[in-house]
Amino acid sequence: MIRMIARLLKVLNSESEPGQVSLAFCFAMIMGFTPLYSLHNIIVILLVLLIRVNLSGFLLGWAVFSGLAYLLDPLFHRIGLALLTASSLEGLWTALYNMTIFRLENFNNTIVMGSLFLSLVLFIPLYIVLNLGIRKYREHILAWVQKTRFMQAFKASKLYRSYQTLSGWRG
Amino acid sequence: MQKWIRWQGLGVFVGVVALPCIFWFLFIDGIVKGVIQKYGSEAVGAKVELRSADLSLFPAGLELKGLKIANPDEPMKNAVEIARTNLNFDTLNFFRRKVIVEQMTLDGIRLNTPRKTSGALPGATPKKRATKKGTIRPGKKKGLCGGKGLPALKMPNVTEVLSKEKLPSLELVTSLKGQIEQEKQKWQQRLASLPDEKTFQSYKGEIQKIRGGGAGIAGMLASGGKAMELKKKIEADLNRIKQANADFQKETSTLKQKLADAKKAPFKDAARLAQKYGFSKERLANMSQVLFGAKICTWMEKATNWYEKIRPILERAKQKKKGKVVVKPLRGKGAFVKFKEHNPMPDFLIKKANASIITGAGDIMGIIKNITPDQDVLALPLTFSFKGDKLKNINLVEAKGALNHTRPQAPKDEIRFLVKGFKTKGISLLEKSKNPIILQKALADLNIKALVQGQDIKVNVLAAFHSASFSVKDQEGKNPIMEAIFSALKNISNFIVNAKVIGTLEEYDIKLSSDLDGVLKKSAGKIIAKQTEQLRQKLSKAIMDKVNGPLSDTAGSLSGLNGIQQELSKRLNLGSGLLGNLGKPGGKKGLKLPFS
Repeated sequence: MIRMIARLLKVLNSESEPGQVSLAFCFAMIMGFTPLYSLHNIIVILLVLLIRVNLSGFLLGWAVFSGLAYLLDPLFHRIGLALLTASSLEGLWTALYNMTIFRLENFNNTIVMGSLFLSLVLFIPLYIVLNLGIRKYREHILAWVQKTRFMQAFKASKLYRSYQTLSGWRG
Repeated sequence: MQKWIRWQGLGVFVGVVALPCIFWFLFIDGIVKGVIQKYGSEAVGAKVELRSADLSLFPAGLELKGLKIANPDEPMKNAVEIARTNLNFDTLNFFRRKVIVEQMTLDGIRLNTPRKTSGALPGATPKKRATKKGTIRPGKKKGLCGGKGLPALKMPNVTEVLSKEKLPSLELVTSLKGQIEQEKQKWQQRLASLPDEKTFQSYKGEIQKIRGGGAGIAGMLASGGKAMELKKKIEADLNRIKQANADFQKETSTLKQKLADAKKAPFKDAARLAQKYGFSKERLANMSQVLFGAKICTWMEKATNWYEKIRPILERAKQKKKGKVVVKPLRGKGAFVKFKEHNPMPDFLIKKANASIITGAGDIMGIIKNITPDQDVLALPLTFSFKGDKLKNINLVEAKGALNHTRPQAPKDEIRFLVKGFKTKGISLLEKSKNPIILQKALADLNIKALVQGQDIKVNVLAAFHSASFSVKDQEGKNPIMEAIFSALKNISNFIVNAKVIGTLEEYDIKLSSDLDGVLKKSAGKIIAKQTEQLRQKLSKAIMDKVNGPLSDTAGSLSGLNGIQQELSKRLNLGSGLLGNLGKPGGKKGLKLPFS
């Protein structure tokens, strides 16, 4: 837990662009929400590795969203089932169903469809919100936090030492 | 651009993707082996073991060696053992998550092989047959399998029979005695209410007075009037007695008839019990049911058990959501919604399987086509054809069939099984009997046709036996009926048995007929008739011994009613005499009363 908070602080305080951190969390949401062994996750991994996003943020976000996914599985199933059984989309699904690549993707699985749909819908809003949040944090909160007595005490703590250790890692 | 792209990430990506591929090539065979053993064991309910598995992707195929499936009902035996299984997949469909096996080869299939260690799963109990509608429940069979039991082949002990049975004859005699006693009491009360000797004496006195009545015309007229009045009274009393006498005659006649019936009743009882406990000719007429029923019943139970094990392979649970087929998901894994395919294919299909079964008698070769749980998608039934000829002790064995579940709501399975020149040896019939009959040897031809439509089952078994010889294990000493049956069987070398099974998989009726029935009836009929007559006579004597005492008492009670008859006759005579006397001239004045 201490390491987790330390990582979060490191990510937030890092030199990375807020956009890189936000994008990492958004990709982590797709990877965490949808079942791991899905074809689209290979594309997500490729993008995460190819685009200069914050890898620490991605790994942290993946862990958090994977945990959340266990709780949200029933919701994903409902959304997926509603989409897959919607008569207006039947033509689209039938066409995809007859394509090998989409069968490999398991798009006709209710949880895959529900979780992928929800994470794609939330992708841009989450990116904007996180971007904004990180900027605000760095502008207003970070400097103030650094000066507080609590932070002074914190810097002397084990937690901060963990953070220091991690700060040596490249993000 | 350079700020956002990290080209070295591409190299890492290649490494990330390559890693699972390396893992696949290194460990997939072990994983496949583990998966087959784990899920196979769970599905069968007993150990499923595999020596090795080899999965290849290009071309897609799987080779399994040393597959052993333990029998959940007999853990020290393998239900099936397959030396080598080879499957060739359709690669493109494999990537579409469809296992389409173009060709499957099953070499060295052995059934019911012994195991060195138990095949039972720790903590697992043998699987019970499902009880929900549409599936089999443990043997509720009518007729032969319903536990009617074998008829006794020896005459029963008379004392034992009488101790078990109620005798209507004895009950009849006892109730008749009670009835007679009641009648006796009733008539004694009725006699008391009727005019008796005293009454008639008083009438006599009155007559005397009338005769000695007043002189002259007035006196004579007065006496005449009184006499007429008295006459009417006497006549009325006499009529009451006459009516009582007629009633008495009627009732005693009924009681006498009942007594006569009670005397015959013991013989009726004896005949009924002799029929019930004796070995009747009619039962001999169904001797083929007695001899072969239990065996055929056991085979039917085994066959229906295996059929129920195979049936889930042909159908799987599906549910529809808004008209789409949704295959039942595992918990937490979601559900797969199916859509119309341009070229519909089942999720699992073995197009053709070549099998060679190794039996003690030799090899049986066969082909199975279209093995799939989605016959409705494939629109083709599973068909099979097995043949083995010139086997040890069997000239020909052939099995053909079609399991048609293309319309899941109306499945139709047809199986035909043919065996020619099967040298049978030491088949024990009447196993539960103390005198088992053994079909020592015979040459049998079997023709079995089975049809299962939904839950309805219809099977016809025609078995023709040639060069047959029987023996009997006489464990109970000499038994004339058994001897009669056996001596009849000794002369039979050719016979035919026909079994018809009709009903549902849960409850079916087996009807057996054979030309043995007529032969046995003819040969052993006389001895059986003699035995039954002896039993009847013994029973008659024993029943008479029990009934005789009460019967004599009852007859005595009926004789006791004679006293009442005598009393009624006496009163009738008195009344009639009095009425006669009234008409005669009497007294000093010689007056003749106007009665006659």
